[in-house]
Amino acid sequence: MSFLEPAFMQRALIAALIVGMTAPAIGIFLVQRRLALMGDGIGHVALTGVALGFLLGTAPVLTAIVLAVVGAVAIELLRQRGQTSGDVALALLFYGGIAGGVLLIGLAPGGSNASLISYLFGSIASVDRTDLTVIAGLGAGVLGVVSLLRRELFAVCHDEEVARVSGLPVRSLNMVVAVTAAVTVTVAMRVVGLLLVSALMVVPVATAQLWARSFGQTLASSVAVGVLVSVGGLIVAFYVDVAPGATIVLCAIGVFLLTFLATAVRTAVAR
Amino acid sequence: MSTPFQLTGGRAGYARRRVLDDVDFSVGHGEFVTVLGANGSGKTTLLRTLLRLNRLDAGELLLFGEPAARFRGWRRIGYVPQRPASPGGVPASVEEVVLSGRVAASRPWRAWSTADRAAAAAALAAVGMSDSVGSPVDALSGGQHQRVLIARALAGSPDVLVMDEPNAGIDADSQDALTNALGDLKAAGTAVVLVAHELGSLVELVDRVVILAHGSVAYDGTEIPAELHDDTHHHMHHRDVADRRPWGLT
Repeated sequence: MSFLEPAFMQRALIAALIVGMTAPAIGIFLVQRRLALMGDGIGHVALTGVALGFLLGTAPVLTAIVLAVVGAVAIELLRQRGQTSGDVALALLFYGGIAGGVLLIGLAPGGSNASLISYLFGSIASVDRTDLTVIAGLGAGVLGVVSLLRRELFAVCHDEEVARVSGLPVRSLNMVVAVTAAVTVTVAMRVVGLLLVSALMVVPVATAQLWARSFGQTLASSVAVGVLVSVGGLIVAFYVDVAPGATIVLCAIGVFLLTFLATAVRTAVAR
Repeated sequence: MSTPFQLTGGRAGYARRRVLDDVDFSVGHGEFVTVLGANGSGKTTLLRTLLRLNRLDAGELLLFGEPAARFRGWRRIGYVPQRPASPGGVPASVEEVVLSGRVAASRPWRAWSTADRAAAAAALAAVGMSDSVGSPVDALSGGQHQRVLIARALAGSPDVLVMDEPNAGIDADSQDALTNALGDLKAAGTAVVLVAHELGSLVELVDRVVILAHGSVAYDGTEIPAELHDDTHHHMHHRDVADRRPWGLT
């Protein structure tokens, strides 16, 4: 059977395509600011949001978005005020997010840790039309922000102090990055899962960094790698019958290793 | 034309450590001022305070005649930091870095205009880096990188350029390019505030020297300490300045 035949695969492919584009497009700004693990921190907080959704009987995606945005803003405020370093703020999100999720799911009627598994590791095959509409809407928003504010975000992430002296609204732009990253995490949650979401924000960027010579090249090629591994990983998972989220992430790491070897060989030959 | 910087009774520091105390410092329109002093004398803190990157604990700061808190004309100030950019290792081309100096001056929500690209090209030409427009900045030498950071500040067409040790550890070509670029700027009426350990060929451009020692102004005048410039370039005030060594110059 062709992977394009089942309706669930058609929806899954569209979701993978959107996530493959959006995750590296915002991830590049996190990597540039040395906040590569921010996606992980936000993902952990989003888990508390998912559990809260179960507890309140509302859609877990909605509460996940709210909590993810709150977490991202909190980490940015902590970082800006210099009260704690970026990595300590991230560590607080990691622990608090997981602990909150496990605690709240235990309080939810009929809830158990098993309810969280599909959010932790993704369940792209179960994406329905409503999910797809939400993913498409949020994905378009993320891509819109990145393309409209690309010059400003580059200036701020490349050299925050110079950007501040030049009069750019640095705090607001940092908040835009944090909130957009939070939205991206919840968009990608169904595809690769909260524990693996950061991989799609970081690994394609790390791959492009190996050979690109400019920010524009890095952005374009990391989005290309993101789409390639998301769609490619999903198709592989369909035929081999393995977990799609994990396959997508392992494909991303495989492409990184191949690119690493190719650039190492090229450098050696050039010498 | 109003005075780019006027600090009166300035006090600033970090946490519980006071670095600047009762500092009066001003830079006039089109004036080239060098701030000198030993390590830890407060030179960088003074620059950061002028740029509002550090809080002013006491005193008054006017930027182009306006109280700093109300000042909105940041485009008129170009800043060249000492440290290199590109913290996360994401590649950036020379052109992208220089264009980023135009962001605040250009129209938002749009792609770069022809005028933006022309300004970036002119800024790169001014520092003699036109040939490197497509190169990744990480591939440049320290001196070339410094010239790109200067071009980024110039791209916004500032009225005053603030530089933190732009000539520290750079090669001879970059030193010459820096002197030429700053000479052209001075001729065009741009004010310059420059923190330095040594002046080299820049000594010809300096209008006024401010020497900091232990967070206070130890000297403010037109004499240039002899040990800071090449004697073949400049002979004036040699003995006067040699007598002032207790200021703590290194």
